[in-house]
Amino acid sequence: MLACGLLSGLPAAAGSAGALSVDVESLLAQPNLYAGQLVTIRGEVIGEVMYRGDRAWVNIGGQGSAVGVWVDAGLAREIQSCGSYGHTGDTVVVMGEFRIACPEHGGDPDIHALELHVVELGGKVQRPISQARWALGLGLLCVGFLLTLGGRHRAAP
Amino acid sequence: MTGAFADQTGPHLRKAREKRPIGTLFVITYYAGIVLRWVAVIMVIPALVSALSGEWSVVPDFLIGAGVALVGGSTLVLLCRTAPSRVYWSQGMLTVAVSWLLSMIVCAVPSWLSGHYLSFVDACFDVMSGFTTTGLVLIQDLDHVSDGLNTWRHLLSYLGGQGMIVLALSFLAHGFPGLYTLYVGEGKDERLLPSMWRTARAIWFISVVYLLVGTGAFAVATRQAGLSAYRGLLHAFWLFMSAWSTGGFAPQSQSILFYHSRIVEAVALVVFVLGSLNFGLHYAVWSGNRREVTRNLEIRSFLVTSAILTLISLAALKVSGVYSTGEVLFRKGVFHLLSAHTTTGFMTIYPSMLVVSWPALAMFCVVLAQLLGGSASSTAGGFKGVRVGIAAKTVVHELRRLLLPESAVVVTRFHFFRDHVLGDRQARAALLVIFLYTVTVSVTAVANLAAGYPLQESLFEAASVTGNVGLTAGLTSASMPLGLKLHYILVMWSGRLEFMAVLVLVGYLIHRRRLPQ
Amino acid sequence: MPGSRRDTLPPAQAAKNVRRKGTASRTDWRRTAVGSITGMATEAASVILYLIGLAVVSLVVAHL
Repeated sequence: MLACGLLSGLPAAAGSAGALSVDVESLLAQPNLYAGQLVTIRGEVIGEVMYRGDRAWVNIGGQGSAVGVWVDAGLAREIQSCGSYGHTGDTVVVMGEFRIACPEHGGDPDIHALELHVVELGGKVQRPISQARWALGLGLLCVGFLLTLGGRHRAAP
Repeated sequence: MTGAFADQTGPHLRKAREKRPIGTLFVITYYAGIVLRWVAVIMVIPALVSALSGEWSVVPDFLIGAGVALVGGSTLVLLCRTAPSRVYWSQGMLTVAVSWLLSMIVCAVPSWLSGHYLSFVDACFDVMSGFTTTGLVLIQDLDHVSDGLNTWRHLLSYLGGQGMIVLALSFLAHGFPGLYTLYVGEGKDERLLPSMWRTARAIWFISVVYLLVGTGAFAVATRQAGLSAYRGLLHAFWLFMSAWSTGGFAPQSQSILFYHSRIVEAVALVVFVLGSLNFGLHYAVWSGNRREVTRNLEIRSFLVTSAILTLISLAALKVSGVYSTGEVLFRKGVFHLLSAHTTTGFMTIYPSMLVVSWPALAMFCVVLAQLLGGSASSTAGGFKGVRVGIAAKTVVHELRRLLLPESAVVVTRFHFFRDHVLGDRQARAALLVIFLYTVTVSVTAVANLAAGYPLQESLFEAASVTGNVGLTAGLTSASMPLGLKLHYILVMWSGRLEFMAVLVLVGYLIHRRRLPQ
Repeated sequence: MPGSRRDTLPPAQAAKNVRRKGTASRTDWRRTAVGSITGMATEAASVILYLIGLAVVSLVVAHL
């Protein structure tokens, strides 16, 4: 908890290196404003960490989209959980250079990370199973089968 | 247009043929019921994927959807008692139009139950976008969607691309009255084989073989990109279905950009270009007629238009300084130009960047590519290459007629699976559809402008939705006005069915009397 | 199916093939498989060639 508290103060510290603190949505809505600049973003890791040798791709999600972060594999290994249907991803703070059309990565808009810190751990998401929906679904299927059989019976010569 | 068809019928239908009415409502009701029954069967697939992934809370959503489809479909079939003995041309068109609408409503049930849509209309929008292989989405929080729902979304695109009617009817016994009219109503007209039933099965054979090979290729690519084996395979399955159907759905919110992989992009490029080709061409090449690849008017038309538009857009991008190296120009410029031209809709940049960074000339080339579209009798949308080719030939023909002496007989030929002589009928048919597309784009652009969106984005999005492309400049979102969402659903549906089926439905509703046969 | 000659043979020959059931089916499927594989290879090669051409265009434009 103490570590998380200390780490959550990191964006301000990162900001002191001249990095602009921005959310993912604003970054992607107006990429021209941040092209070539040091930025600090905070968001949930989504999908999977994709290792490429000694580096890795980490996609950080915001509202409705995500941005790719090219980071050292060692830093990426701090990430324990990635966002999906069954999991909430770790929340990370990343500081790095935003490239609107990275020549190293085929023109992809991305962030070349200098720092990556996990500030909040993710985990498994409990999705309750609705018995009412199961009953409704099975009930409708039974009715449907009966109607189908009834139709075949009537159509038979 | 021909009149009634009388395909071979099975023994259980012959007895009923003698005294059964063939009213329009009866035909629509029966076949719509059959299609809904098959929709119920298809919902088993995402339910199974959810079960495999341990998403037990998602499985009942598909059971409910399947139940609604089965109850609805069986009720409709029961109302008719027995199958129609013949289907007139207009009835076939009406059946296709109505079946797609009913299927959209039923298929939206599991999507809406997932909780990822703000309204049932939004769920219907995404379903129609999938059926029509458009690819525009209103789904919320795509990065946390279940494997079952992602499978469902991509499956809708794959099935919609082949044609749902073709799906439902190709698995029935020989002799289904009016199969050809329904097939044409779904925007295809190539008879690969003398029997329509065999044609439908041939289309499925080609698609399934490519499904196996293409999924394998994507699986290798996603593994190379760094995904785990199981998730890589799932992504490969989804990406293939979307690329082959030129649908444009992707399992993550960043589309193909999520993978940051030149191999994934390369496989996607190959698959969606292949998917945009005429099924007749696939059949011809697979049957040994390889020369068709170079002689076909549609291929030549696509090569010319894509090459010209690529050159202009790349030059514009280079001059504006947006992209400077060869690799970047290819991976961004060529990729998006072809994604537009094949009406796929995959993106590797953000919509905002299209508007903010790309020069107007490059955007215009993309808009034009979206309108020109892919091949006829394929999964692609737009004007279609054969119509563009015929339109160009018509212009040349008329110029020659004007320049040559009046007594000269001007004959213009083109090769489209066989040699044809260009006649007034083909020219009229091609130009009519191009005209209808153009009118629809214009009306949609006006609707976008009326809703308060800027001109460039309005035109871009209008071309995208009408041509069933799916590239977006950011206009399409859940915050769009309801009227605009409904308009987009109508436009996607009309464009995919190439207007005729929808116009016949409108005509039927207005006149409400027996249509000419 | 693509590659199958079943739909293009004269009726007498088709009937003859059906009588020799086991051999005709195997031959048909072999032809279908070969047709499918060579067809896919032809199509993929054509598309890849076309993309290489566009890649060359990209390189040329980049150096202008």
